[in-house]
Amino acid sequence: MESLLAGLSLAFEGTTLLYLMGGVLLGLWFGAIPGLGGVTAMILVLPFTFGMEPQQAFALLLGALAISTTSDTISSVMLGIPGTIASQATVLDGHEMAKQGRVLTAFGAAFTVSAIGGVVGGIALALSLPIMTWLVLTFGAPEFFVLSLIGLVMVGGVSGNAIGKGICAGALGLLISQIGYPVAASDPRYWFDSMFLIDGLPLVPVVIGLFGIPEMMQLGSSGGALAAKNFGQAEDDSLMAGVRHAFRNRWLAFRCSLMGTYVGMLPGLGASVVDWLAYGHGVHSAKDRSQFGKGDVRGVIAPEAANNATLGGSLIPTLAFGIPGSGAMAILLGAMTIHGLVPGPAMLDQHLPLTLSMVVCIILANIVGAGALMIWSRQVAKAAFINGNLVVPAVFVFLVMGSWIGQPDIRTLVALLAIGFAGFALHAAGWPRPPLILGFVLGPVMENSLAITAQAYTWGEVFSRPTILILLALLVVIFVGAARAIAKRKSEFKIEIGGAASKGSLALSLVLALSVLALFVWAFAEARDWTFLSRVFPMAICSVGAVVALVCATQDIRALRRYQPVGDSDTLAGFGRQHARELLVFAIFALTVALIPVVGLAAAMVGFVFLYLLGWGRFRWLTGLVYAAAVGLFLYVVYHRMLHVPFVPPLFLN
Amino acid sequence: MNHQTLRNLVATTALVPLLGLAPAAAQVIDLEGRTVTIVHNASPGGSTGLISQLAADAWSQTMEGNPTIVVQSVEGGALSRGILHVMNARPDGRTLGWVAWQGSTRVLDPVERQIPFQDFGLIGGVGGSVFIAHTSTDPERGMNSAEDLPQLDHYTFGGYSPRSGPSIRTAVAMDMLGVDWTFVSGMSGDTPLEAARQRGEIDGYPVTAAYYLSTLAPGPVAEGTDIPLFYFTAPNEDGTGLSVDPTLEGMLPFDQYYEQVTGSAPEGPGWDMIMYHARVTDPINWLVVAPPGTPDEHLQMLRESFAEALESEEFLAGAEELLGMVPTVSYYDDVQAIVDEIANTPEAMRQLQRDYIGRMER
Repeated sequence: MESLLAGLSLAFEGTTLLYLMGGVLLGLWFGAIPGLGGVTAMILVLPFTFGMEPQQAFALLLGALAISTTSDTISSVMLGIPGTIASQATVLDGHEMAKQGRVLTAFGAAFTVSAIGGVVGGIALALSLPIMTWLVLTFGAPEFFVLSLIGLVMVGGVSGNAIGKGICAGALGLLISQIGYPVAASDPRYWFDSMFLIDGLPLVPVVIGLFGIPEMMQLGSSGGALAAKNFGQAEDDSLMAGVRHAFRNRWLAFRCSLMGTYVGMLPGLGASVVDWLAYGHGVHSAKDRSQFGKGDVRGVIAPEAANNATLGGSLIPTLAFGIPGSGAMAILLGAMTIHGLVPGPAMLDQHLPLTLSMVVCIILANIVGAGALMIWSRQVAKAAFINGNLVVPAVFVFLVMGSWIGQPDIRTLVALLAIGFAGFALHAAGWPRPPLILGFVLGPVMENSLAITAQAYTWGEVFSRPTILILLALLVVIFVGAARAIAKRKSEFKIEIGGAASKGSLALSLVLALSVLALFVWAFAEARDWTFLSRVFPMAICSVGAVVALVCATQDIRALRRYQPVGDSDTLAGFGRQHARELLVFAIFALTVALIPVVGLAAAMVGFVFLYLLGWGRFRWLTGLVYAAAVGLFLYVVYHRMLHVPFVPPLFLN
Repeated sequence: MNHQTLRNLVATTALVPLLGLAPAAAQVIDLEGRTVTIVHNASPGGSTGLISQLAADAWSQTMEGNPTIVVQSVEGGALSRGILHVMNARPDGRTLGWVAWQGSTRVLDPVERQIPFQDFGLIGGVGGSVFIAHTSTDPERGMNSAEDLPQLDHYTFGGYSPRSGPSIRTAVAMDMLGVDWTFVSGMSGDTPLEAARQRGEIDGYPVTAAYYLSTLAPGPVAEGTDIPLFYFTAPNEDGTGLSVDPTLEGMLPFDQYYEQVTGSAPEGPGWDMIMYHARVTDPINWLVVAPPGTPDEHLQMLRESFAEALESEEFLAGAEELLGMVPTVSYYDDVQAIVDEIANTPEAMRQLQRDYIGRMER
């Protein structure tokens, strides 16, 4: 109790509180911009914390981090682009709600459960303090592998009624995650002798490209506003309606918060995967699944409750052992080191008040941040009804800069566009995209844990671990449940599948199935000569992927044969015409990226904004000029002066 | 525009870059009011990023022109992405590198993936390391003290990659002691490795002296659940063996330990490899470099200001708090000698290391 009071007094000290609020403000801002996020905010302020008192430093850092998984909802809901890696699943239903003019409801529900999740995560962290070491030591490599398998089974939950295509997309994501250095060998895989690929594809362009580029293609081509209906038409849309939804689904929020806390505790999994797990749980636990993927508020509540709770969980291995489960925790660990704090028993004994002040900071940041966003959200929601062509230029600049900041290389932007185009093709062909991301995120964790298990354990040792037996039983239960649901066709709901099937979409789906089949066969053949631990995982992925791709191709051929066209325009040419404007917008994006090495990054971005508004959006030149100047100023102040992002100079200056 | 005017314009334009380059090749680049970026090749918040930030703060006081120095992380590619970023940067004084380099095993890469470190403008090196081999106590297997190791039937040790110097040397040492071994890769950093040891996934791992002294010695070793075996350091003064680290009381460098348990001095290719790594791996963790082509006088200024900055009390105190010990700082001549020795590594030594890596990989 004494320590708790001391912790409270540390957190509520005037200066500490001030730093916490400063961190919250920064986190709100950085979380809302796609590609930045709380980690970037932490990197920005880290050098300033060196001279602070420890409690002030952690208040600033945790404030910036804790709230970024709340404000990232704005981008996910409004733009259909995950604001950070933690809000990918929110896109599925949150963005649909925005399109239906229910932005405020989505925000109200998301911010309420985010606060709940943050508080639950903080409390769980406080309650777990005495058993932190035990928790960390209980989960070894075999447990991680089975947990990742459970995560993968959730592919069923995020595939809607396209299970086969979902599995295929998941396998594709897993295969893409195999690019670069393997765990147990020193020769990179699938890297085509390109240094860019030697470490695998970077995460940010994959995530924001897969959703963001297609969304901007669609918005740019439609020329309308984000919301399909007028603001006044969604009569029941209000923040309070969202809050009521949140409380009506309080048990779902609570369960997902707990899930977030304990998945967050597992290094390497954390926020990047927990929103999908929570979404999958939301779907599996619902009686009526028909609205998932079409704007079901539970599809917002589940991931948003979970992702805010992960911070409390991820602090457990960081404080107990100094094992940073994520980039953010590595930064926090660095700050601990610089302040002379050693993770381990001392954090529960000598420095217990400081540890508890961190818990209080997390809880406070979540409550204050959610409150601030509630106030702000009315203004933000209005953006859903402005001309989409005013949104596209700024968002494309954010997508480019968000990718660039992590890996300043023109090939990063090529990857962004390539993944974006793949996302567009998958969407148009009726393939769910979430499993691809889930596979991509889970792949390295699964391979790493599999490799360590294979090297350090015998079969007998693995199957004599009680935790493994419990987790395997859980896996079987989830798998059987998912299989039965599929068998009973309970999953008759669409997730991420664009429009009704047409001749063109079926043909494109067939082309995709045959392409990934060829890819799996090629990747399998490539892997044959590698060392055992280098080849076993990709070969397993390719085997499953190839069989399922073959099944999908067969189904598509049958569907095409039976298909009765609906109207005269339901032809391949009609399908092409339907998507022609989207492809034109993509061509503009591609041209902009192609010009970066010639005119430089800053000029390409500012020039794109100006010319897009004038040429494509048909705005007045003054609008274009002011907008472009504002973008240029933002690039200079935020990306150049604050974040020291290296800009490619124009060719004539290089 | 007539033909003559055009020719004059082209000729003038062609001279511009020459005019820009000519003075730079001969003098210290003016950095006053400029921003210099120190690129490091690890994740932000780690020891590489933090120590380079500390150095940046001290260096901005001593570098001519007192520029603003910022630190940027360019991680990935098994450390090569950041190194190549500096290698390809313009030699205009605005980009410097603070890179974890692993030069001794990087030389084993295929030719197309090798990095010509000798082309860099070398400035200095920081952070010599001492690595300690240790193991969990296991009375059932007869492992109660360091002297019991040669009788141990099997030793499972962990590390991130078979290509790390400490991991290869641990494997060599176990072979020399006649202990069968298994290497478990995929565990990065002291703390995940220690968690794996406590879970029983591995028996031990080559641990940095800083982590050993701050965490293992007062914890598992004091409690009797872990035993330090021997350590690897830089060569002693006459270069005949490993140097003794006075902070590691009650422990011996590998050569002395070997002599104690076997009765004879270490020799042979394995011992040669241990000494090779002692010379080229242990003295420097981080190489401090300027891009190739940096003017000589500017390089000289960087070397002098680097030395002054890293000898400052402010830097040394911060670094000691961060690393748990005062880091060793190497200067140009020593660094050049190491880079040269690595570039000229005999083929037999390269092959021996490849053989070990082959055995450690599965």
